[in-house]
Amino acid sequence: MKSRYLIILLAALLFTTCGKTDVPDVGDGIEAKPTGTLNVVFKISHPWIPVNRIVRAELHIATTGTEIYKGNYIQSANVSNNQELYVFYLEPGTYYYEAVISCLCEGDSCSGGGFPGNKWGTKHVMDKFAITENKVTQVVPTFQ
Amino acid sequence: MTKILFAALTLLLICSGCETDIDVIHEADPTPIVYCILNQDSTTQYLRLSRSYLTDQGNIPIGEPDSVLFSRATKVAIEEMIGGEVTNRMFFTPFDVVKDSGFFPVREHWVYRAKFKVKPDTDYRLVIYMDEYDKIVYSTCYSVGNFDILNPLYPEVRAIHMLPDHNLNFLWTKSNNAAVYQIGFLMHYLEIGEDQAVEKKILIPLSYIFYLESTDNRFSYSINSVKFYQYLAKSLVADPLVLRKFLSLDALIISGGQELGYYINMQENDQIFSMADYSNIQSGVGVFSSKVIRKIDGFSLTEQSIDTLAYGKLTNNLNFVDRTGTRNR
Repeated sequence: MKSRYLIILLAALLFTTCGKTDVPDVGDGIEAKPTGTLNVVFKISHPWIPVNRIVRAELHIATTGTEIYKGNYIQSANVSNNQELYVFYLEPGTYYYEAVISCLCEGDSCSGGGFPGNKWGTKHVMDKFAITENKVTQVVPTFQ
Repeated sequence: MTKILFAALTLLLICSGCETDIDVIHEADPTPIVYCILNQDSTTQYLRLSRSYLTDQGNIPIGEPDSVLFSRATKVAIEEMIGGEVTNRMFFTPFDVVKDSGFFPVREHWVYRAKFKVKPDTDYRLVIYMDEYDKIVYSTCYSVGNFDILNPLYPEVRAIHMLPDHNLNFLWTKSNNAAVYQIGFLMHYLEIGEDQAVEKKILIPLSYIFYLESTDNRFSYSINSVKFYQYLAKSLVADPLVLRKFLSLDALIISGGQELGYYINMQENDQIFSMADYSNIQSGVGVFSSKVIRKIDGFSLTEQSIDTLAYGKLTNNLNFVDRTGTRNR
């Protein structure tokens, strides 16, 4: 009789304490999609302005050129002067990137170097690129 | 007869001679509790001095003062030391802080303050002389060195992208003698009510970073963008009648001295109500240390980040306007 009670008690413990642990549904509805890699080698170079007086200002990815003009980017990077390579993971397809640099020179040196306005004037470059599944695409923005 | 007398004497000794009660409320001087973090970016320094007192089952023993304050006769000074010599001595004066609304066990709340600028990489000694108890409390600290933020910079042309696809990476130079750094943001925003628009700001502190043993000259830390939105969701009150507009973001890094680093490290890792708090106050408890704040003002957010603030899962009910200045969802 005693052993029967013991078995019932053990079974009750098993069924009540080892239930499914609640897991937050943070990943609900998210499925891993195939991606390719974009490497943007964001070098600073300029024919007339010293490179230490130019800073990286923006780097964006959009699905079309029109979306670039509208500012509807799908990804953006936090650019800095201490980083040259920026990596994006994108689904296969064609995209556009936009890279922006800005001039730090005082006086009229920036406008003399082709930057609109003076200090903080910016130059933009935009181009199309393709992403292939599990492949790396590399782009190097070149500013005139 | 002798036996009866002997037994009676033994009984008397047992019943009357062995008192084992221990008085747990021992009369002693109160312990000074001192907190002073020298702010190297300010010309006004503050010090909090309070005292411990004993209670007997929640009641204050008769004749004991119930105040957490020492008398005004207490002298508080900080000495600047160069080459082991006192080169400058600054005295603190108490003032009564205007408290926020709420319940406080004491009416008065003194904080000591003094006007002086703290030099970087310098020895400072704290001396508190208590006339009442003929007691001197000491502490020393070596102020942290200056440092610079290397990233993010140039808010004139850069917007911060606050999304997990490319988390912002903070980069800064080493601050001498610093053991802890804290990264954060000061967000400026507009609250637009029915009658008026008020400019407000909110401090968003992110993780502590400990570098107690580091010899590197540069540090970097990639922030978790989600925590930015989580903190806003937790701290701002959702009010359907109030519309909010993001204005700008200041990026800041605070470096704290070794004493502050040890103290925060113990607070972070220890169990709650731990009795083993770090202290560098002699003849008292508390912390005497220093800090430096570096701030780059005026960043904007990228369009996607502004839209995430407006319609993201975490901050949707805070009523921030999107990149177009409206709300349409």
